[in-house]
Amino acid sequence: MEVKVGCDIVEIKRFIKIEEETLNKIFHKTELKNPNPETLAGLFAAKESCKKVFNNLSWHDIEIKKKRNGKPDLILKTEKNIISHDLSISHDRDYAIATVVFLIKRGGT
Amino acid sequence: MSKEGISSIQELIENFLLTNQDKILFAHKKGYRTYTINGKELFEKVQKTRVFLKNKNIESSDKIIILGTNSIEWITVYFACILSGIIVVPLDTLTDKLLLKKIQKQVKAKAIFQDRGLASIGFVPNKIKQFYLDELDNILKNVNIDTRANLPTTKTRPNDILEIIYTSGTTSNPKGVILTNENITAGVNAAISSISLKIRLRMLNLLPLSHIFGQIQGLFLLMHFNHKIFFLDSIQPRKIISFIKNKKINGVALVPGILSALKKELEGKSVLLNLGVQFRLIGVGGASLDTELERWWKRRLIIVIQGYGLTETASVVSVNKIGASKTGSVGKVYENLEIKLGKDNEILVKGKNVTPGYFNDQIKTKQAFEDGWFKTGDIGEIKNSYLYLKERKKDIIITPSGLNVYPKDIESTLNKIPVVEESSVLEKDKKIHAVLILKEKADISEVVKKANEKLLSHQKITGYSVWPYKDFPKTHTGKVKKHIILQEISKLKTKPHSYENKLYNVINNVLKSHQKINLKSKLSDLGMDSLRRVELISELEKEFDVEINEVKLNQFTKVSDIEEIMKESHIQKIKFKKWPISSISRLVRYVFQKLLVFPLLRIFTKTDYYGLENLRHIEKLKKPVIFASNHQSALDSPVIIKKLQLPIAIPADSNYVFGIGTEGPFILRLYKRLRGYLIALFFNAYPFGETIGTNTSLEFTGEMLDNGYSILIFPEAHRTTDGKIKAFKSGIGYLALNMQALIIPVKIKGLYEILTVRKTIPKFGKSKVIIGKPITPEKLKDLSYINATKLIEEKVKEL
Repeated sequence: MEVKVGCDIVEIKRFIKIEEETLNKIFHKTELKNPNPETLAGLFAAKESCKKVFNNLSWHDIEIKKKRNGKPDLILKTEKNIISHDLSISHDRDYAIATVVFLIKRGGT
Repeated sequence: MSKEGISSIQELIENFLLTNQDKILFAHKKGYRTYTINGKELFEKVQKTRVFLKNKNIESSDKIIILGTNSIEWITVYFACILSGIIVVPLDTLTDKLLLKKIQKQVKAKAIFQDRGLASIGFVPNKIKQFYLDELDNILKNVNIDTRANLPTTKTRPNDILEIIYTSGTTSNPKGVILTNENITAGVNAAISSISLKIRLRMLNLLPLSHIFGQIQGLFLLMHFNHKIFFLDSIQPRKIISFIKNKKINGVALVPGILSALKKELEGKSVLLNLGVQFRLIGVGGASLDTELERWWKRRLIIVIQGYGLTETASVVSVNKIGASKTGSVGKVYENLEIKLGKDNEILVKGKNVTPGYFNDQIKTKQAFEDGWFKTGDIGEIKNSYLYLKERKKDIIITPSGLNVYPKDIESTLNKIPVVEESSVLEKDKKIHAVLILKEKADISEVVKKANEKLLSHQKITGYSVWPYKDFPKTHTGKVKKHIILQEISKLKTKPHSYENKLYNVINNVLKSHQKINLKSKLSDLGMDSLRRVELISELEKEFDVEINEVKLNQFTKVSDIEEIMKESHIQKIKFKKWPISSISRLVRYVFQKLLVFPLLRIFTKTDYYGLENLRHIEKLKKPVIFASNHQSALDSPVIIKKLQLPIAIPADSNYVFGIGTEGPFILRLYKRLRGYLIALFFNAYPFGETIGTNTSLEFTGEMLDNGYSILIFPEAHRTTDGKIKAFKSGIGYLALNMQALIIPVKIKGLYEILTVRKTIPKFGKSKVIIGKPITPEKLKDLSYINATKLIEEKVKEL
C-alpha cells in the first residue's frame, strides 16, 4: 500500500469571465449547477490535485459532488488499485485550495 | 395579414397565438436538439405564466427583469407581461453584477427571470423574486387555468409603458429608454408598411430579443406575417450555416458583425450550396453596415435589407425596401415619421414611435430633445430622398485646423485593401490613428501608405497600430468600442508584431500577451498552467478543425509538438446528409427490408420478443427515443428493427463503415465509401465516431431525432468476442444527457451463437430480444456522464 497526495491552489478571479467551452471541458453539467467563481475555483483545484496524482486522468474522469454537510465527494471513472481516498477544499478571499489523499495498491499509478 | 397595420401589440400577440393553434410558431435549437411550440401550447403557457405572476402579487405597472438568451421561455414571459400590462425590463446577457445592481436601483423590479447558466450573475437584489427561465415548465406545472374567460387581457392605454430598455454600459450611468404601447405599435406599423412578404417564411432571428431591433424586426414584424421563427443558441458561423441549410431557413435577421463573420466563413465557397437554394433574405441593422459587405452578399443574389433606427425610435427611422434598395444608404424614411437634419447635419426624428424619454432621468431626457425633435447623435445626409449615415457625432475627429474627419470614410478606404481584415480609426494624441486587424503578416506602413494615397490631406492617417487580438471589442449588437481600443493601444510599448503563424496568435490570445514564441519552449515556460492549457485546447479546436485529447497536451509539451498533435487530431468536417431520410430512400429501404432482409432472417432464426408493452407505451408518446442494446452479431440491427414500428436511424462508425478519414489505397477508400452509401440507404445508418469528432457525431444524432427518427445504438461499440457484455463506452452517457430523449435498454440473446464475429455464415437457432422500461430523465438528471453510462449498462444487463 502507498499513500499519494496531490494539492493545488488557484486564483478565484480567473473563473469570473471564463468561456463556456472551457468550462464544459473541465466540469460536468452537475458540477456547473452553481457556476459562481468561488465554487468553480474550488472544484478546479480539487480536480487538478487528482490529476497530479494520476497523470493520465482527464477532467471528465473526475466528478465531485457536494454532500449535504458541505463535504465534497470524489467519484472517479475507474477505482482500479485505489483502496481509499479523501478530498478537502478551502477558500480564503482570493484563492481556492484543495488537497486529495489516495491510498493505493503498490505500483498503482 | 392586413397591410394597414396593427392597433396594439396585445392584439398582435393574441391574433398570432389564436390563429395558429396547430402551426409551429417558434423553434429553438439548444445544444443538439430543437424545441418547438405551436400556437395552442404557447397560448396556454402564456396564460399560465400570467396566473403565476398574479399569484405572486405582480400586477399591471409592476416591473419584471428578463435576462437571458433568445428562447421560447423568454418569449413566454415577455408575452405574459405584455398581456398583463406588466412593464418589461429586458437586459442584455452581457449585463454584469454591477450594472444589474444600478438598474435595479432605478426600476425596482418585483421579479427577475434569468437563464441559469449566466455565471456572471451571482447577485440577486433584495426584495426581488428570482426565477429561472430554463425551469419555466416546472414552475408552471402546478398552475391551473380553466377557460380563457378567466384571465382576459389587461386593458392598457397607448401611453402606458410597455418596456424600459437600457442602452449604455457600465462606463456611465445606465439610461433606461421608456417605450410605450404607442411607440412599439408605431414601430411595428412602420416596419410592416415597408415590407410585404406574403408567404409564410422560415426566419432565423439572431438578433437578441433584449434589444429593440430583435423585438420589432425579429419578432413582431415576423409575427404579423405569420412566419415561423427560429432561434439558435450560438453565433458561431459554422453552426449558423449548417442550421440554415438543415432547417431550410429562408431569411435571417442579424447584426453586421455576424454577417461579416458568415462571409468570412463562406469565402471561396458556394453560398448556394452551403446555405441552400431556399435562403434568399438578410435583414440587417443595429450597427453600421460596411458597403463592401453589403455588396458581397448582393452579388450572390441575396436580398439585403438594411434598416436604421435607435432604441429611442423603436428601431425605426429608415429602411431600404425590397426592390428599391440603394447600396450604401440606410434607405428611405418610414411613412408616419419625420426627420430633418439639424445643427452639424445631425439627424433629428419626430413621430409616434419616439420615446417620451429616459426613465427617472429628467436631465438626460431634456438633453436628448430639441424643440420636440429627438436628437439621434448620428450625422447624415439625404440624397434623392435616401438617407446616408456619415458618422456617430461622438466619433468625429476634429483636426487642429477645425476640419471634421469622419473615421468611417477612412475605415472604408482601409477595408478595401485586401490584406486588411477590419479597421478602426480614432483620435490618439491629437492624431488620426488607424488600428488594423490584418489577414496575414504584412508591412503595415505600406498598407497605411496605400490608404493615404486615396485620402484627402486632412484625412491622412498619421499614427497606426496592429491590433494584437482576433477581434475588436464590441457591444452585443456589434458596435465597436473605440474607447477600449484606445486604452489597449496606449498600453502597448512597442509596435507589436503580427505573426504569420495562426498558432502563435492563438497562444498569445490565451496568454493575453504578444511575445515572440520560441518553438522549443515548453508550455510551462510560456506561463501556461493547466487552466490555460484547457483554454488553449478550446481555442485550437475553434481555430483549426481538431479535437484534442487533453492528455496529449501537458506542461512538458513543446510548441513544436503542437502542430504534430493537431495533425493527428484532425477531424473531417462533413455535413449532415438528408438523402437517406427522403421519401424515395424510405420506400427503397422498406421494400428491401420487408422483402429481403426480414424473410432471410426468419430462415436462420426464430426470435421471441419480450417487453412489447413498453414498446406500445413509447409509440404512444410520439417522440423519438434512443434504444441502447448489447452487441452480439451483424444481425442485431435487423432483428431489433423488425419489431419496432418506428422510424430508426443507426449510428455507424465513420471510419470503419463509411470510410471517412481512412488512409490507404484509393480502391479501399472507394469500396468503403460505396459500402457506406449502401448501408445508409438500406438501414438508415449515419456516420458517428472519432474521425468526424464528438461534436459532429452528437449534431447528427440531434438532427436525426429532430427529424423524428429514433436511434438504435450499441454502446459496446464492437460485437462481443466471448458472449459477455463488455463495458459500455461513455458515448451513450453523452447521448443520455444531451439528447433530451428517453433511453430504452434492449437486450439480445442467442445471436452471438448464430453469427459469431468473424464468421460469415450464420447457423440456425433461436434468439430473444428483451425491450426494457424506459429510463426516466429523473434517474439521469443529476448524473455525470460516467455514471449515466454505468446506469444504462446496468439496466441492459439486468434485463
